[in-house]
Amino acid sequence: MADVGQRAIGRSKHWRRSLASGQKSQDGPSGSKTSSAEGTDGGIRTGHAGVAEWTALLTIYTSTDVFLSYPSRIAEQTAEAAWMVPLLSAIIAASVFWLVQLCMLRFSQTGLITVLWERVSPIAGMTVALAGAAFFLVQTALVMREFTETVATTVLPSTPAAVVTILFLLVVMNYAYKGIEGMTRVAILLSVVMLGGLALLLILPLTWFDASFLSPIMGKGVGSIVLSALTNTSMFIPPFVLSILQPSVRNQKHVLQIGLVSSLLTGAIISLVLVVFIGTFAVAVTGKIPFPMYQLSRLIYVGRFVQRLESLFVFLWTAAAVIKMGLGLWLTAYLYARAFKMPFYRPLVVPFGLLMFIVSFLPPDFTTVMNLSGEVLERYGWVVTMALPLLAASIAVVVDWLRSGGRRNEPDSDPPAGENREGARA
Amino acid sequence: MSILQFVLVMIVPICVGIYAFNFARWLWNQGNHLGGVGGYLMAALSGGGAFVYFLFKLLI
Repeated sequence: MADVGQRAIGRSKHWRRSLASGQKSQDGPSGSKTSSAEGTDGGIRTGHAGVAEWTALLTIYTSTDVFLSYPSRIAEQTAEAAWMVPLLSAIIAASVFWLVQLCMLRFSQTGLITVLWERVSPIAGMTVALAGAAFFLVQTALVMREFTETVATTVLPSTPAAVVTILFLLVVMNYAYKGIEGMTRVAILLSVVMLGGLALLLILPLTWFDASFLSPIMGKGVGSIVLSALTNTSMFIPPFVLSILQPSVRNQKHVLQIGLVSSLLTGAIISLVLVVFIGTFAVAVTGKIPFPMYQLSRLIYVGRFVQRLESLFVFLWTAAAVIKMGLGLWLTAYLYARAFKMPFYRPLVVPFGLLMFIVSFLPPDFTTVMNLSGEVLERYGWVVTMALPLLAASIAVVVDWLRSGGRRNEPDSDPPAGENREGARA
Repeated sequence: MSILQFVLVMIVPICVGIYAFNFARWLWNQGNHLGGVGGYLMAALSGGGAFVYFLFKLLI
């Protein structure tokens, strides 16, 4: 027993010495690995993920809003034209992402925070990272409360909401602890099941579908559609997330493809779901149902033996919720760690999990949560997810151009195969 | 609410606060003062914030 203790102390001392001297170390306080290159720019080892994995994770993260009150809010804002809003939002988000990537071409294979920290000012890098951390903290806390209320009111009415949240939180913390590689792999595995389940959920209640509910086709008019699409871009996170986590993509040539495909795919999925919602319930009802997806699943009646399938779909929603909240928690911890140049993010997962629990229960009731989501987060969230990365990338390009005396920046020589400039190894 | 329930609820923010505080102290001792400040802020926000929240929820 004493021998085991001595070995543990010795290993800990070795790990601290090697971290201080900037050498490669195999296990940190959380089992994560570090390298000397990461220590120079505050980068954190995140691992790598492929195109399909990243696309699946970002698509699931954004599409999960369709299980919550998002369809009701859009139906209230734009009436019968609600299905156009996510498509337009997706096109706007994809355009912003393309512009950000255009700016980032000047800084090959480097994340936005590192670029800001090194080329503009450490304050700029810290501000962007902290703004992102605060946004994802509040968004994930509100999503957690919404999902908790959904489960507590529909599936587990006798269970206290706090118990449901704690159970959610334990799974989410474990999921976030696995890092971006683990999260993307779970997302790609579950994406097939989710797509199949969603397709079933949209096809089986088609017996109630009435195409006349979708007219007048322009709803409340073009103005309301454009305004709603602009404000609801806050749910599309690829411009912000991919500009920061660009070095975590295995093949750098595919970063643009991931952002564009995930944004447009999300828009198409949500739009399709809204078409079925409105065609089934009509706008007047859709705008007043807090969880339209659940109501849709309750409508399924294919003969005597195929009915009441909502218990099956609950597993899909829960899996999607865990992926969304897990990525939200991971991003919060990661961005906070980057803001303060910490070498690890994992020790922050548990404290941020507790903080999310507190923030999720600050609103007194579900109505307040929905108001906060609709009136504050969705209305002003685009400032963080769209305007901030675009502004920061533009400033970085201008400052770098001025400092280099107006010369075009030649990209650094390509790093060795399988490595990027932030030191993360493939 | 019994004393045992009170202690069980209050022990969570205390443990998380100590955990975050130790991480911050470790960062500070490594010479990473910026990280240390962030860690102390995190300890105060999560541990302290949760402690105050639970205290008010349980007592009021």
